[in-house]
Amino acid sequence: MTALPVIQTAPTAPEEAPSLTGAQWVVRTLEELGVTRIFGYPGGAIMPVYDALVGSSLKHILVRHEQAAAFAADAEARVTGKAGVCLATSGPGATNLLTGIANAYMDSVPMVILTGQVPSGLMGTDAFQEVDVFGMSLPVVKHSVIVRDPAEVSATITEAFQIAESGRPGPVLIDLPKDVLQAEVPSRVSLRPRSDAGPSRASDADINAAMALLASAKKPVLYMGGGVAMAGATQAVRDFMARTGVPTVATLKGLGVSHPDAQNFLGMLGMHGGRAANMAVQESDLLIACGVRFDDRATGKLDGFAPDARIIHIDADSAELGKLRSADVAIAGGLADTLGRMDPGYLDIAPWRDLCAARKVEHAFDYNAPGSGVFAPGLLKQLSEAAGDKFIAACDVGQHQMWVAQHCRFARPEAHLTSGGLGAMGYGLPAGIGAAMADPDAQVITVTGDGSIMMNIQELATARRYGVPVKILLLDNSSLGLVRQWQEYFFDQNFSEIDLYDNPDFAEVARAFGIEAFTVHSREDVPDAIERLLAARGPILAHVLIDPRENVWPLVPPGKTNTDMMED
Amino acid sequence: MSPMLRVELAQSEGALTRLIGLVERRGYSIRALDMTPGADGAATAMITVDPRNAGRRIETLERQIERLFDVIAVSAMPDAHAIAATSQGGMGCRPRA
Repeated sequence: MTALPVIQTAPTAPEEAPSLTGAQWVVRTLEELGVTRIFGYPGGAIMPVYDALVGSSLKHILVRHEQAAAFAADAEARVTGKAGVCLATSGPGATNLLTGIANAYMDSVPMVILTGQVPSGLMGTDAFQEVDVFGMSLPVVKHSVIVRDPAEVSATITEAFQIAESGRPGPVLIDLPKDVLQAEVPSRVSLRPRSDAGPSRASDADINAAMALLASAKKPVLYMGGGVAMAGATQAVRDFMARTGVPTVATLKGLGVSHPDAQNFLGMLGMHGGRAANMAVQESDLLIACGVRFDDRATGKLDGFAPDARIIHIDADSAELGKLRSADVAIAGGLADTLGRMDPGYLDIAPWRDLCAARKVEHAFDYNAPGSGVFAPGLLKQLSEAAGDKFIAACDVGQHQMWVAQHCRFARPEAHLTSGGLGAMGYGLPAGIGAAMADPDAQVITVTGDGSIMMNIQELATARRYGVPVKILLLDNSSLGLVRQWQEYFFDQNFSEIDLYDNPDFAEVARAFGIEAFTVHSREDVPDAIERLLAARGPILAHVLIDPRENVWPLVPPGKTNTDMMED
Repeated sequence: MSPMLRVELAQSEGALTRLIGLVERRGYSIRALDMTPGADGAATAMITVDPRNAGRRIETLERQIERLFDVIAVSAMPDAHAIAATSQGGMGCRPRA
């Protein structure tokens, strides 16, 4: 993350500028900040901004549900590292954004959200399409502001981008009352941005303490997560892995940091992690935790997680250090710099390294599934291999999400777009649209299920309107598969509301939206299906029928430690 | 034993709501709150809290509060007694007897 310059925070004298309305300042400021694309949906309170958008260099992407605007902006941010922008009107427009805002918050994604609001004089009177979106979003934003002075619109937006993108990234909401948008102001206040010196540098004492722990460890494990890419430390972690040979595991959000074939990379840990990864962590005597937050999906039962391990915890956010697990060495600082300075030389861990490598081979996934039906794990592996380094997966939520994490190969962490912290169904299609627009040269595959796609299926219209080259892989098991699996194993097979027996023909639905589509019934059709998907120049949907009885393995049951893995 | 937090924050719109909401949703109930306006548009809030769950560390809450952009400074006193509401210039809030 680029450090912001340290400059004073006092407001300057009003800047000489043409007399513009607040709405025109919104558009002009976004243009000045280099924003090229915003996802949105118009409405009454935000109409002045839409009026000002006409003739702007900003490309506005009209979605069909505001939630999709937020998800698409989120995905653009994950791919580019810059804040995505979404726009909606007051009332239901704003509330429809909330799931997308919460999703960005939970995964620390930089986003700037602009919401229209009723005129200032009506605020608090239960006016038409008035909701207190500022109050509603307080728990799920990094920061938020209601702009009361049109002269401050520009400075507020500028500051919002800096806040969203600095430190631990996150969403910033700006609520814009209609009278503020309509008022004309002859000048704008240029508030200097808040000072931000960038990540602090770990002290020599902390580095020495960390290296001492590493030098004496016999079973160290590097445990890395979403914070690695956010810190711009992907290469630093790869270098550390290569330099030390320390066995390494990744959270869901940490996938793609390590090259998947790196010998000391053991894969994903946690609830649906691999056995080799979970065993390594559970037996470790030292965890080097980089950009992770000890989330329950990764740790299982927390007090049984890595029970014998000392902890080195490195994160940009000091509030994460010690939140769930105390660290022996806690470093709130730049991850790349910290790892670069940790050069312990020879580590006496060859037996441990060999054991972990052997387990990786022993517990490798078996893709030889019986029958002739499509085997989703195998399909996903083949698809990601065929797409190669251009592969970007935009996942929905459910069994398919876990299969993507387990079986796809990611060249970089920005290639794996998944709603990790919130687990929001409906993310996949709008995220695929946002990603494909942000990186038109990539092979963006939305991997979704029959449950998830229905949550934002209207965005097929958006994909068609803009000719977005998103390839939709719909794995249809006619059920809410992950819920069904839990009911099967943890609720005595008392299946409740998971049967989607009445799904439409999704290929027909896609064609009705004007999108090329085809259906895949058997395993022998998979190679051609992959070829057709990857060759498509515009949006395309592959409707793949899979066995409803297929489950995700391994699985750590709720309340258990990561050694209590259930397998098929 | 009720920890106490001393928070200096900018009196911008929503700042106090954001602070109190954070304290509550991070697992602490608020036993007492006293807020005193200061200079330059800032105010000082003294908040006495009780953790709802065992194992919550006041140091973690302190750092979470420190992340808020309206917060100028925060310090936690893990062993402080509950404070009495001030009678002058403060916005006192105590639980009913």
